[in-house]
Amino acid sequence: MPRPFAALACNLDRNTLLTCLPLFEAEKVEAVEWSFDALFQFKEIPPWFTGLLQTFSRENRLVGHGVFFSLFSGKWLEGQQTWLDELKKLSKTYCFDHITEHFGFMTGADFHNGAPISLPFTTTTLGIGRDRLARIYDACECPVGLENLAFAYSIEEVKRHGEFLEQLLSPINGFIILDLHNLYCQLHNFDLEFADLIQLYPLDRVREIHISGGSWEDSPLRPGKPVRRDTHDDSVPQEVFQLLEQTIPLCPNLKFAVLEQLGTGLGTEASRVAFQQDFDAMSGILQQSRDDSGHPANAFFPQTRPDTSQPPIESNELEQQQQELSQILETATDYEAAKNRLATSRLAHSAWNIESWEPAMLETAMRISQKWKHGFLQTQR
Amino acid sequence: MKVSKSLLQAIAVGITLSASSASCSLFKDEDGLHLQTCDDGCTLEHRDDGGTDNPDYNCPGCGMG
Repeated sequence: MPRPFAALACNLDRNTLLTCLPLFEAEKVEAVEWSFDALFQFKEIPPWFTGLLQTFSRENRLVGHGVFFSLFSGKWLEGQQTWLDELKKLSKTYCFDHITEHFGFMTGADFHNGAPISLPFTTTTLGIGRDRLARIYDACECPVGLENLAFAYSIEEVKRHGEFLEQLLSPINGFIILDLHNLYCQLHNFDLEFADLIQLYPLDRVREIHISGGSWEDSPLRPGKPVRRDTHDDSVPQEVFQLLEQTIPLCPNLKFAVLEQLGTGLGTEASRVAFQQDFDAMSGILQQSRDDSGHPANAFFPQTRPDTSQPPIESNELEQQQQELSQILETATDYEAAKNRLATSRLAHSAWNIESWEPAMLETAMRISQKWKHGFLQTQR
Repeated sequence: MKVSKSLLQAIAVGITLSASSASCSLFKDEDGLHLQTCDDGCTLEHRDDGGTDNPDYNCPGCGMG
């Protein structure tokens, strides 16, 4: 396996760029991951930022990480077609080495009003997910991948996530971003062992690894055992670096390792220095993995071009369930209220299996949904 | 990877001059007057909802919650 590139999640954010600048100056950054769709609404992007993107694009070291496509929305949205059109245009401007999106769906009136939340693993959701991934490939014409989700309602869902990702991605020969902090959340929240969880993922599909930090949130539903959340607002825990060391040798097609942190977590000199130290620590681990045995075996291009000539697959039932779930999560005042409303909703006794959801995780889903609904103000988590 | 000195200088100047982050926004325009959810004819001023006076919000570009 060739040594994976040490990359940064670098977006047009003042704190992020202030933090990353010394790393660029020291020529330590080997690739950049850009959340391209966060800038779709901006008419003008500063030329120095596009210059930075072009620098990495020219060397095939730029990867695109979408956030707002809402892969599993039951209904095909106008915004999704716009997103694809924008991606197609951007792909002519930049040479993305690959494009990725998140697992989950959003249901709000626009792409900023709705949380990325999970969904049942059924033939319906599998069909919709495959359809959308094919359309993303059609727009960008480069390898397409999906990131594993940090959040899960139940341990059964955690255990099936890797297998479902394999089913989703195999038709387009897509790949996985394995977010190790997301795994870290699940290890803690569901009392799992790393060795047991990692083997549930198709590791030959891992082309990119993410590491980041997060936060602990107390829950009255689980006294003494706070929920670990993927808030990306703190430095990387030592345990996640250990997961990185353990995971790299298991992923023969790994090409990029990306350090992520939100700009709001980089507001002080101390936090910036900590981020730079995290990057050095990640690079050091990657250096140790060097093995110049040629290119990865899988380039993650589909064997045949996916057929996207048919209208997008939709499910009215899924759409209605998603809307109802989002409405409950965004407006319920507490766990009991959410639980009671779900019990009389379309989701009761369905593939959503709400009857087995962990109480603390339902409460967490409410917090995530309400955070997205209210727009990521700094005081909210 | 090498990034040219002139580009690094331009980035340094650019981020020094920029008053706020702009990786994503709830706001329709960069003046923070209207939310993306506002109708075209909206006459309310939404700066108090966290517009340019309060530009710090968690960009969800990587932090999913």
